[in-house]
Amino acid sequence: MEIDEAPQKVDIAARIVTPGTAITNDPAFMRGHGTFSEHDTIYSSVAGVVERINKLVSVRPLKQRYSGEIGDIIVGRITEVASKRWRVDVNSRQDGVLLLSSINLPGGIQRRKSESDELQMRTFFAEGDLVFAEVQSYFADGALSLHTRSIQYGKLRNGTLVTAFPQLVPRSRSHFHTLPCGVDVVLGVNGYIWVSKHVPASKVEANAELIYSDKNEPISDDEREVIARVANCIQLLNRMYVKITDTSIIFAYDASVAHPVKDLLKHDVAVELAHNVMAYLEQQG
Amino acid sequence: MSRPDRREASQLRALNCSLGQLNRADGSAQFSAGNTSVVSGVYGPVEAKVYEEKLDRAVVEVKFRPDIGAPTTKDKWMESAVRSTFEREILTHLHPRTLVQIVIQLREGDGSVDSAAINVTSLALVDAGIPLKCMITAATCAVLSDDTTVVDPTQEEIDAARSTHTFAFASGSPTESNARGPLYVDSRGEFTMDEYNHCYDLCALAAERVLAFMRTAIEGKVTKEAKISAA
Repeated sequence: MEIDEAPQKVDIAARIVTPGTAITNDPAFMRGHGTFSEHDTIYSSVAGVVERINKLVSVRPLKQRYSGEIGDIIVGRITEVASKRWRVDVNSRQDGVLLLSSINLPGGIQRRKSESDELQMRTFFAEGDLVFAEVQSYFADGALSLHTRSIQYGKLRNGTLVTAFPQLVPRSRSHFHTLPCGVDVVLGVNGYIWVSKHVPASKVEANAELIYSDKNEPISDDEREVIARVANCIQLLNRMYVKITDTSIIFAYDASVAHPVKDLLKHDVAVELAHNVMAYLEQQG
Repeated sequence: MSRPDRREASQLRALNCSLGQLNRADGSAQFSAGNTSVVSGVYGPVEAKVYEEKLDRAVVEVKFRPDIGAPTTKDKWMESAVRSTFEREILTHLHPRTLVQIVIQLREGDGSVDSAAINVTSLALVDAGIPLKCMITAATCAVLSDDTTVVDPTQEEIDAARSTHTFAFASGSPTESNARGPLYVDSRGEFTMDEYNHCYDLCALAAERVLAFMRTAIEGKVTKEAKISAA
């Protein structure tokens, strides 16, 4: 076992390192994620590829739990109702926190929070509910603070949840898509994806008091089949490690029409469809 | 005296490992030396229960399951051995109020189980992307009744030995000034200080070989998957 010689600046990036490998002892560099320093030498703390951006040296491991960034759009599940806040499972190292002061109260955005709101928190979100939120900030220990202060955020209804690897959901300008097949998809950056029946935005805004309702719209058998097909397409994209975006889901859906919905989870069908999708995506450039 | 499987005294059994087989765990690994085979799954950092969380660091929990039967005190002892070895090498202060749970399942035991458990845990933690100060590798030695010392003994050799010794080392510079000494030591039986020191040296060399093997496996996996995710 030899300590690797401190490499020249040009050689640092794109090296593969394991925990405890010395990266550099040049004092000009700052250390980023995936590293630690001891006695002026920067060591790697994970197995991965060294990345250098100007003076920042970091090591990117292949796999890590989702750790949120401010502004991320995520889907979470309420795990606990606590005093003036909810704890939300966001597929990260710690549960996220949704403060009572960070949600829209029914009856208009300008309504003041009252004492009775504190005592009736379960009328807004109860344990097990799914919430569509944005990351506002961090707490001191690294837990995410969420908010739903916009009409498009809030409680999710009329659909089904699909779990994917967070690395496969890229950050983009919009995470709420209406697909041509008539289904709404919410792509949470934390890997939780909500597929639901399309509800026109005008209908949502018209019923401001019903934003915390637990009642689903009536969903016909055909609509259920389309939702199931889209959900299975997302599952197969996840299994074949293809990036999950609205375009890749639409391609996968169009390619899958030839197969019955439940066959989409079979390995050979999944491989074939994934190759089709990747070919389409390459053509697009 | 030749060994039952005709190995040299300082020769390890055939090593095998793979990473990432359990797709629902944050990290997983399999490791085998000859017939001794272990699997490990690592979950974390995840939310810790309020009564077990630590405010300034992550809690490390180890569960060890034997190949046959329900867990006994011996397995509890193995859990605490693995936990105390890794607790100081995982950078726990980076993830306060969380839990890192390591589950080790012994698939087949044929001697040197404790060093296999430590080796597989190293691999699984690396697969999970949990930050570590170093890689930890371990090796076992046995001093036989004819005073020869053999490395990576099988269960048959351990049963006939006068003493057995397991050492775990941190990866890093071998020079005297930087040598950290062993992270884990377990010695059983009757032995002299000379025999102990001899075993220490043999195990250090064996652990180095295991480390080189593990590094090759990890670097191969990182290279292959970096190509896929870069696409």
